[in-house]
Amino acid sequence: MGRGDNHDEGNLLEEKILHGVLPSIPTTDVPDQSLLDPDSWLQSHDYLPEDIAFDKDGHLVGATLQAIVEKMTPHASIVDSAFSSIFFLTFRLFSSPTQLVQTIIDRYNLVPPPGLSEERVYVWQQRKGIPVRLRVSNLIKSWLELYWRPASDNVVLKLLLDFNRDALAHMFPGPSQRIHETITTREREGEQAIPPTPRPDLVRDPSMAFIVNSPSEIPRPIMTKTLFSQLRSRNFAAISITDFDALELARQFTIMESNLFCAIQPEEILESGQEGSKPPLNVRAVTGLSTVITGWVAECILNETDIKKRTTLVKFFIKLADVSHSHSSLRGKVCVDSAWYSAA
Amino acid sequence: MLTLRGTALHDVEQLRYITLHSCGVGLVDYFPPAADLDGMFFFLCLSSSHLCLSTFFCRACLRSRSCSLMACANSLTMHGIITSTAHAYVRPYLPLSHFWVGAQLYDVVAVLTLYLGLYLTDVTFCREGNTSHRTSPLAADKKLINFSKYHKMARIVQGTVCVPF
Repeated sequence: MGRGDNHDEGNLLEEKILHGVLPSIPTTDVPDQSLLDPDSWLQSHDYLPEDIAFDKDGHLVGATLQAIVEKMTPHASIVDSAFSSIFFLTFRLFSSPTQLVQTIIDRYNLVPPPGLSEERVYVWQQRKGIPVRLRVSNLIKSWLELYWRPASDNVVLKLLLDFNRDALAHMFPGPSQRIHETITTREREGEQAIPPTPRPDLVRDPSMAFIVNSPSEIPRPIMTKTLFSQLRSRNFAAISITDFDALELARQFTIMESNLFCAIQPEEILESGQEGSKPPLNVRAVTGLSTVITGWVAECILNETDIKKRTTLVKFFIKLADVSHSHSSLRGKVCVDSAWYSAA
Repeated sequence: MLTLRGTALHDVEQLRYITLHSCGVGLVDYFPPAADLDGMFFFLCLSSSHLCLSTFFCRACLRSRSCSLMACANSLTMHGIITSTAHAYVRPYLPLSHFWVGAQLYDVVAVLTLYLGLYLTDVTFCREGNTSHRTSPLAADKKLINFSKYHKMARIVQGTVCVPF
């Protein structure tokens, strides 16, 4: 096609526009192209691009509190349970319950972008406004029911009560009623309430390998009748430590530690050593037991002056360490090993 | 070093051949497995007999089997037992020891009684070794919460319950 042809076509079009008959205006509304594909403007995030940072694998490595709360209340997907448990486990380390409640309220009061038509506002409400508010409601419910720590979180009960009454009750009456009851319960229990169990914030990450070999039946204690009767009669002076079976002793140590270990709260580990944190009493109880066992092993050996008996004792404790190790009681093994070291 | 296991304890003359240098090589290369009672007993008796300098090394190496070779090296240094020559043999193992124990903990088949001290150490290192905030990659003047730090800490705590009693 030459340049002359283009020139002729241009003149023809100009002639048609100036003197021709224009087509009539269509009687039906032309559909808004953006409404045909609402995702293009609904999928956008509400945080600024500089408010969030990801690593090369796409994992969240940095964000503002607002961006994190948005991650906890997405409108177009379900909440990542692993992310949720990590957030609830750690948010008190980088924020405060009051800040979190304020950010949640701001998230709830999300408004449509300015300049939207009535149709777009309706679509926005259906596809973003309501889902976000529903997830805010679920976030508060989960926090109150599963992740609540009375000692630090009770300060926001009043705030949550007001927000629930003024906002959630109008939007979601059913969930709001349940939230109201939970808040009332938390207020009644006070700060001495025991954190909810089981602790979902301790639910393992699915990516962590976990194989459980549960014993088919509870093992029977390994103990002679003589030893058993001496224990029953509290005749401890007549009992030598070597009278015990090493395996049974390892089991007893494990049982002793079990209750102490299970009493440890995650915040005791997370916040240990931080300024202003509560003393980790349960962690100290576990480490205290280890110290006692270590000292006891060392004392047992060193108090024995007869070389043959001391050799027997050493052999017994070596066996105890070995049994502990073979039964995956690493702590028991460390206790005995520490005794060797401390007795040097 | 394996030949030492057949050595009688009273054979002091033979033990005198164990210099710190050779003992450093042998014991670090050969960690006696916990199930090897004869080996452990030999080393423990060796250490309690106070026959030579290697006694301390034996005990420390045994301990490092379940604890940390770093503690072993520190202890040896503290007691003046370790020398720069021997330390050269120990050093390559130092960065591995903590990972070795950690891997044992994470990979072991439950049910397991944890060694809580490792987790407390991990949490402390994670908290003290990472900043709480990081600069936004798109705005240098904006500080973001370093969420990866808290993610790591949470995973450590979650790890303590992955192997319940």
